[in-house]
Amino acid sequence: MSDPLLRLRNISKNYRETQAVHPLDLDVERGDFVALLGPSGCGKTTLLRMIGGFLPPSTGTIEIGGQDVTALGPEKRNTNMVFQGYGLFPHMTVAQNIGYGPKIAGRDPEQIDLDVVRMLNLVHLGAVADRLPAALSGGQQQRVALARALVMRPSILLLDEPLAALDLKLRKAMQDELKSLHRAIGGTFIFVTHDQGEAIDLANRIVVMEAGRIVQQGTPEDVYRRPASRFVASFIGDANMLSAVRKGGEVEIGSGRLPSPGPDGPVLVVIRPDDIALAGDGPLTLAGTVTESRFMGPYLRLVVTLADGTAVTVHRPSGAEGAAPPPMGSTATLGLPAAACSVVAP
Amino acid sequence: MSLSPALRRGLGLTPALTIFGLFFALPMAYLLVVTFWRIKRYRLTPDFTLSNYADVFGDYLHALGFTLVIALVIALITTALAFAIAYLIRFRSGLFGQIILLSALATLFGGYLVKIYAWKAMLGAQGSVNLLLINLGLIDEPISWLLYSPAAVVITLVHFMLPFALLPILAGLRGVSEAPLEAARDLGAKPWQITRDIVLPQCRGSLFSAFSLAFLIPAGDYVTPRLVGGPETFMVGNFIENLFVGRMNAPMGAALAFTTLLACGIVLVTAHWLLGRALTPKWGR
Repeated sequence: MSDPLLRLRNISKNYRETQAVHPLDLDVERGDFVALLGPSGCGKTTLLRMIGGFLPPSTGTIEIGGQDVTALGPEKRNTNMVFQGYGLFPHMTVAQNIGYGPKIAGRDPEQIDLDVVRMLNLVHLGAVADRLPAALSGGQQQRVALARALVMRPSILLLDEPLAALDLKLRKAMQDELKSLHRAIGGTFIFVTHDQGEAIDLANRIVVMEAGRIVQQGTPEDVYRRPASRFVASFIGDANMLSAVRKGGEVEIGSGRLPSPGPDGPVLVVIRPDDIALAGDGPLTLAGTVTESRFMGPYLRLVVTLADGTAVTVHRPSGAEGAAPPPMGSTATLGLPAAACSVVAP
Repeated sequence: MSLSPALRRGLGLTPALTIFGLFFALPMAYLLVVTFWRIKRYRLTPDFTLSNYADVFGDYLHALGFTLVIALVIALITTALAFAIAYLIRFRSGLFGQIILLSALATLFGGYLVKIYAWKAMLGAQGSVNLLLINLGLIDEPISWLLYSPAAVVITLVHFMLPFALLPILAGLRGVSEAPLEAARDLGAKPWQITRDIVLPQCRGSLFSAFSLAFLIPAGDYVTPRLVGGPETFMVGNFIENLFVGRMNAPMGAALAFTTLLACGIVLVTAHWLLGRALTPKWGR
């Protein structure tokens, strides 16, 4: 196994009384597209700014490509940042914005022109090269910020809430563009977001943070299918959380039992609404009454209330089965595939 | 009956335009006309002669040149100092910045003459500056050229102009946001490069206002040179005053005033052009 490109060891940050980031370790491999995901105030931006060199960590070391960069400022690190709000130079044209880094680096003028043109083509901004940032749309400004960072050929590209300022439609388009950029240049990207959909769509690794700590990291599927805690389950996607009790390594739920090693006591069984089958005939079933049935476009959203009053949300594809949704008030037996259930602490 | 938007806007400007016309444009126009008149038997007589301008160019060109140079020195020092202080207040000192700003503005409470006399007391042979330097052992005897010299005029006027130059630059710097500065640093720029390439160009307008103020007011001043400039430091304002009051030669005084005005205009236009050239990005396309 090769060494990670970025290696954080025991990194923390505190401001007087507040601990913004608790000591943590993080490795990022070359070519990764990592999302630092969490609610606002969870320390994700602080962590990103420490990686970029804008904030000195209170403890710990940061290595990039095997070199200790903890004491180096952003101007001496081979990382570049796409800032929230972009931070474009308002008095420079698009081409000058992109050319500024190469100029400071002392590349020769002809090379700068070539670099700028290459970047303009990469982000499809050739037509507006001579405009000032104020004359650009939000999406175009975003692309200038990307090009300005990428022209430096950073070993890690850092993005601070890169799409937060864009409207929904533009955000989707930029997500696709970011993905194809990442594929095209094969770089290592780390971005901060509070949008779980964005994280799942873009990243090949998600690092979920809560209150200054990393609470789970893994592939989007890992994090979605096997949430490590109640927080992760509720933060990422919709989740049903069913109270249950663990006894002797098994959790009793509905009609059956779920093997689950761990101490005895109350637990939560997490299952995604789209993993629940309507006509349950497996070992794990729950019986209840349909109390809500709504057409959501691509899927039907049903709420089934169990005998103990727990409301379980079920999503079924609206077109596939052709069957009409079960009428309100009818009884339903829900099937829970054991593999789709995660057991977490309450 | 409704008025067209253009007319409405015009009407709104009427009071300002009236004051500008009555109390600035008209007197200036009158003064311009007078520059072509002459004095006959102690009386102002309408005429059309260029002899006043000829005399100005013959007799006062050196005074005008000296005035422009000294005002330029004052304006450059003041603008540079004001930028440095405004930069500290805006980017470096946090809460301490407010204290710096307050102490700079507090000097506005002391009047113009109070400041001149204060510097007169400080710069003299027995003044605090010389005493301090002697007590520090840096000099053996008082520096004689501190007072009654062009240096004294420069020091006094720089101090007087500083708050006036500070305010527009600070306003300009407040409009410079932090993210582009961080971005420049991220791209490898050193602090002086960030100041030169990102900060200064964004407050070009306010730098020019500060420079203009710090140039025009000293260029027209005649009180400071008289009180601290000594017997050899005469600025063009002193000559204009003398022509109007002492020699009762309004046409020549007016001609000298208009020549000064024109020269100052040329200096400012040139400064504006140079500033623009220096602060325009020269890479990329």
